[in-house]
Amino acid sequence: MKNRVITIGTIICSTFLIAGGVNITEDLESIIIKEDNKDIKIQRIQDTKHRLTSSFTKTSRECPPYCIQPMNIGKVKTIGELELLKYIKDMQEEDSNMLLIDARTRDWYSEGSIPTSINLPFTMLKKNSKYLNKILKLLGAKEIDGKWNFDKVPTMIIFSNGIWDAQATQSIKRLVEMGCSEDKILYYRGGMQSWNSIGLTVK
Amino acid sequence: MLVKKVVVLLLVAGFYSISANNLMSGLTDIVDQAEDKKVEDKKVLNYAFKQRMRTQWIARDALLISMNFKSTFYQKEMLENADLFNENFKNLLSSKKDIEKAKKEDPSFTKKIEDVKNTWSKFYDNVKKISKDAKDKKALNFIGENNIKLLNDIAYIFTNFIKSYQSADKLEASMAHIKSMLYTQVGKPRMYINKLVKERLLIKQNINKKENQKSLENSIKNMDRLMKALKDGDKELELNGTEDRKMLEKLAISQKIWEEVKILVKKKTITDKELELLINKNNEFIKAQTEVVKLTRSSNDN
Repeated sequence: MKNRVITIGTIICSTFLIAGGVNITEDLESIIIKEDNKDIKIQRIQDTKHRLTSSFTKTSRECPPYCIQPMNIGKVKTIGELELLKYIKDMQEEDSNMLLIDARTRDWYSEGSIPTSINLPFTMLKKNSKYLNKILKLLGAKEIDGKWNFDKVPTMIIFSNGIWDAQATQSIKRLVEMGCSEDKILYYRGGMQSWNSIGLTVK
Repeated sequence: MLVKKVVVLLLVAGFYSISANNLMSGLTDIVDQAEDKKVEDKKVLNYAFKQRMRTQWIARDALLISMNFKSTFYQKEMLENADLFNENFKNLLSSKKDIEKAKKEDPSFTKKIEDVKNTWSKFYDNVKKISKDAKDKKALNFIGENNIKLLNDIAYIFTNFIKSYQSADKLEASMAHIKSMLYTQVGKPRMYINKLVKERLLIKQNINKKENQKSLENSIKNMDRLMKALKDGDKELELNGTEDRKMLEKLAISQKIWEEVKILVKKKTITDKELELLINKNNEFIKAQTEVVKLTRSSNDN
């Protein structure tokens, strides 16, 4: 009995010793950004016992359509969470010329996305999309002699559900196919799967 | 270990350039516009699924009326369901663009629609007759004899409607197919429960007893298989099953009611008190399974 009490006491004490904030990196606890005139704190879920219960707990989805995506899409740079967080922070600057794009269809997007992202479903960039011209013009692309010039388009960070989802891949391929320079695009391959799995804030 | 906490606090409105805001809101407007159309499409399909259930609901109520079981109540309920069926059917027929799309998928679609229009028109007239006179045997018989044909025809029409909504994009079509299979199957138990209760009533009334007994056994088998498949998956039914806790809880509620219904419909003889309980459980099941349908539509766990 005495031994049990000591063991339990030791466990409780060690829990207190090792417990701390769930930071993003050793030096970074969170970032605060502004979206729709509201402060949003992007941080990890602080409860160390928290586990995912959402659809991102699934290990196996039918392929096709949900197939593993390559690490690199052409010469487009692939980034991880820390780079993405830095870009999200940079995007708050007045002279920022970046856009975070969630390439998933609306049903996915409405279940939660990365703060400051904008929903531009991959389907809307398809050749037969009746919104394609409007979208490209809004992005700043110019049509010259039937070809699109993307020089004035902001740098686009594109993501979808993660390594098992082709929605971001399709958007990136389509933009490049239309003439967008590969260095205008960044691919966050981890997507919502990675973002959720480390408990980062979802809007 | 000393954790150095750095909070990067960034300042308000001025940081966002006007052009960035314009770009964001402009893109959102375009996507919203495209999505509004999709929501409308989904509504058409949602109504369509409910029509299957209504055919069997009307037929069940017609039987209860013929048995003089709370006739006034079921006369009203039957007419309400028939009015809803009629309204949804009319909406569907007036969505000309959708019909054109569906025709492309299946050239015989127009003829089928004419057939169903014809069957439904007679069906609706007979429902109205029963709502005025609970003892109109001829009208009651018509509902009994034609409800399965109407169910099959409606199912055929909606299958073609779903096909017509398929995207030309391979990835989107493939993702949508998984969902549409799930939506089709998850609503089906509501139709089955009405159908098998109706079959039990037919047996009680000694109407085509042998045939209806066989039909009832099949319905029970189908229902058991489908309820299990929604939970555990079934390759043939193209269902993956679910591990989602909320979904499992909702399915467990439906399953519990289904088990109670099963005991009642399997009974060789059924008293009036048990019959009343059966009808209540039938309605309870529909409510519970509608919750499953709602949750399925708001989830991406498939």
